[in-house]
Amino acid sequence: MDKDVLIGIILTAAALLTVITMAVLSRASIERIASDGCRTARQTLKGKNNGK
Amino acid sequence: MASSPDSSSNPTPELSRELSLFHVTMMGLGMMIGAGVFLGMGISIGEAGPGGVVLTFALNGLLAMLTAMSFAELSSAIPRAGGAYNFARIGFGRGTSFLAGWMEWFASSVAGSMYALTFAIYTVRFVGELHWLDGLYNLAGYAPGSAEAESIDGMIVKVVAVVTAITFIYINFRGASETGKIGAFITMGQTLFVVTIGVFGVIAVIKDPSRLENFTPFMPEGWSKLLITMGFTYVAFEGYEVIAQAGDEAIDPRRNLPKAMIYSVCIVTTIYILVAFATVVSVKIGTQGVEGPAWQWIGSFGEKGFGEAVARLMPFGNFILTLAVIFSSTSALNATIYSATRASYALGRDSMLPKFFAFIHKAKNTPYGALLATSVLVLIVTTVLPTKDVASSASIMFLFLFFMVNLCVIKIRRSMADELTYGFLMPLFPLLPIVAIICQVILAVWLIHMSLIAWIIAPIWILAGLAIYWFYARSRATTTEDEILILEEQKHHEERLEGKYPIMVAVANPANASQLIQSTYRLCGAKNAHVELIHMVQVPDQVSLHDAEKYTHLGKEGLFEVMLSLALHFPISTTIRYCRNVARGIVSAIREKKTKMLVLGWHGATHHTLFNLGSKIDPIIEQSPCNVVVLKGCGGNKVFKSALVPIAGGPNGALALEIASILTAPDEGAVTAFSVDTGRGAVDFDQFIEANSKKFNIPRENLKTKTVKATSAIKAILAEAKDYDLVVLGTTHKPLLAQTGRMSLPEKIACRSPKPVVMVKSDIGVRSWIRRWI
Repeated sequence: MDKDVLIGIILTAAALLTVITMAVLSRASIERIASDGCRTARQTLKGKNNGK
Repeated sequence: MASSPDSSSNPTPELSRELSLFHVTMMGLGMMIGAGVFLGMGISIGEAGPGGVVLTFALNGLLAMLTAMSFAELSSAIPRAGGAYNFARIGFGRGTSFLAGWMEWFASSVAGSMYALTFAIYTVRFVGELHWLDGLYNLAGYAPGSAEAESIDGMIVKVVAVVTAITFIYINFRGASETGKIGAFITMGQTLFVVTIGVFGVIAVIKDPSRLENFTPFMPEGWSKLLITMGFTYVAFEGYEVIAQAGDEAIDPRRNLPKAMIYSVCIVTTIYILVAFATVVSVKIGTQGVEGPAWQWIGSFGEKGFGEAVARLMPFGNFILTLAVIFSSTSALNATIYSATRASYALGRDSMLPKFFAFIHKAKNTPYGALLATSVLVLIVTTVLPTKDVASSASIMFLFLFFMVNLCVIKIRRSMADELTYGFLMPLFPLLPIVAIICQVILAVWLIHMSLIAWIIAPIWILAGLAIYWFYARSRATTTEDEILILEEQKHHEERLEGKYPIMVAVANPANASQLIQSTYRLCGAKNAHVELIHMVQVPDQVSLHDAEKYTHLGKEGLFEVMLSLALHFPISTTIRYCRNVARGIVSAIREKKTKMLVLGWHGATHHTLFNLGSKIDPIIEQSPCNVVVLKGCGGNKVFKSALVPIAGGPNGALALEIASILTAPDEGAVTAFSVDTGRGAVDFDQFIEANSKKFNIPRENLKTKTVKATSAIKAILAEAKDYDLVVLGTTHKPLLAQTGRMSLPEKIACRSPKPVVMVKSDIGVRSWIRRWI
């Protein structure tokens, strides 16, 4: 397989996978913050550090 | 029937909150799956080749997701109509925010024109193929298919585009609910059609795998062409901007806006990759009419290349494509008009543009003034400008706009982490917005290879915006509650301040003032300072701005007490300011006054579990662009004969030595630099003092050094502190929010020490800030 094709396939797959992963993780984060109650950035990160 | 925002006798009409997660997601999708992809596909294949077009949309999707994260975070914290304009206003102030709103208005309006034109081009083409326009050609005396007939086509396209734009302007006037519902219906249709095209592409390859040969050569024009096509098609990913505009109208916006943004980018990236793949494999090399490589053949049709490809991919390809374009263009047109209207409405609402822009219709609850102005812009651009340059102009403006939003997300999280309520916080902050900023600058610059006209139009619009801001908006813009107000400012001296060292002393109340006087006196004497006494009035959110003065009583007493002691010796100015957040107010005043040292008092350990030193002190220490001295238990007329300065080797330790030597008695005082060897080696004091002697004034005459071996640095320091009058500590230089976890060593000592404690932080400079950020 041509080197350009291989790089192209890898880049496309990686980009799509990253986009989907970011969407899934972000959704989980939004739901977690919503269930804990929206707070300031500092408070939210502190809650996360405490494993809440 | 209409009202102006000045009609103070009646309650001001507000936008109705009716849009669900589904509606706002569909609005975003509708704006993305529009003409950008249909126009961009053919041109991109011609520019970057078959592999390049797929990569263009894949990498653009990734870049769009990075910026969508920034939009999502900001929209969850500031869910108001205005989008980027509001973010810039809160992050950077009026000038930048005006520019953001101005660019947003232009970009969305021009994108709207592009969608209207695309709708018209494809509709007229389809109707022409059905020979429904032949009668018109005959009436004009031209043969169908002749050059003259094509000129009539051009006129018909313009007329249809204008009629389409007017139709959707009226739909927007009907209100957000109608806008969202009609938009959602259309978006569902367009998504279905576009996915169908992608599915046909996959089926075609399964039936005939030889079509994959169309991908050879993969990147015939080289990888650098990717930058051009990515910049050109970026407009196809900007739908999250319209979602941000729905902040005043979305249900549960802190939750739904970020979700809608992220969902829409994820969905369109997948669809675009699928459609790009289908476009490349749509034609079979060697079939009738296809000459040369498939990518060249498709690219030769330019913006119509996608249409030609799809017509050969599936039965009724022309018909299905026309339906898809009709649905997608109208949906995107609907969303862009909505977005452009909200952007200009926000400018009018804050008096940056004439009040006319902020008029809201009482019955429809829509900003009809802004809508009318947007309509004029859309219709002019639709009538006058060529499509390709319009698309490039919109892309450039969106790239600039998103560049600004990525800066805003960094600035706002850093400066307002304790104020804004967030529904979403992006991961890997601030790496993601920094990467997005770099990519957006590169793409914007590279777009000059696609359209020179775009690079002329965009700067002209920006310069016009700057002129309007300078001559009109700057003096009229209303103050928002997010800003800091100066209630009272007085100068109590007549001296010239050149050469004086500016020290700011934050006074909260009389008790706090008494703690500050003695130490401030010594610091001012040693530094030949002039003193700026500041009292920040924190007024609760529910209290009106006009009542802020009622909260100044204790602060004025405190200021008076400090003045009594210091005014005879040093030039003093006082200022009382209102702010919703004390920390931000003080940091802002430090920047404004170019203060070199801030002195403030601390009452001791806080019971608040979320912060180390306290919700006010923490951000002040982190963000102040100057040296900071925090005093604890230093009140009264205490004379410090001995000071202990634990040293770990950082610049704060050197400042701590300097401050300790100032605060101890001039003749009999002694300062002990103290190091604890916990097995990692002790500090080399001679080398440490030598390295810091240029920046800090560390007198050696009364300086002693001491090193002990211990397993616990905290215990060793606390044990040693018992023999001293004062402990002076340097704070740690941790990145913002890292300190929310557990206390650092200096902070633990400050909390536990029974002796007076002074904590210091030196100004670390721009390079260190950048290093910390990255």
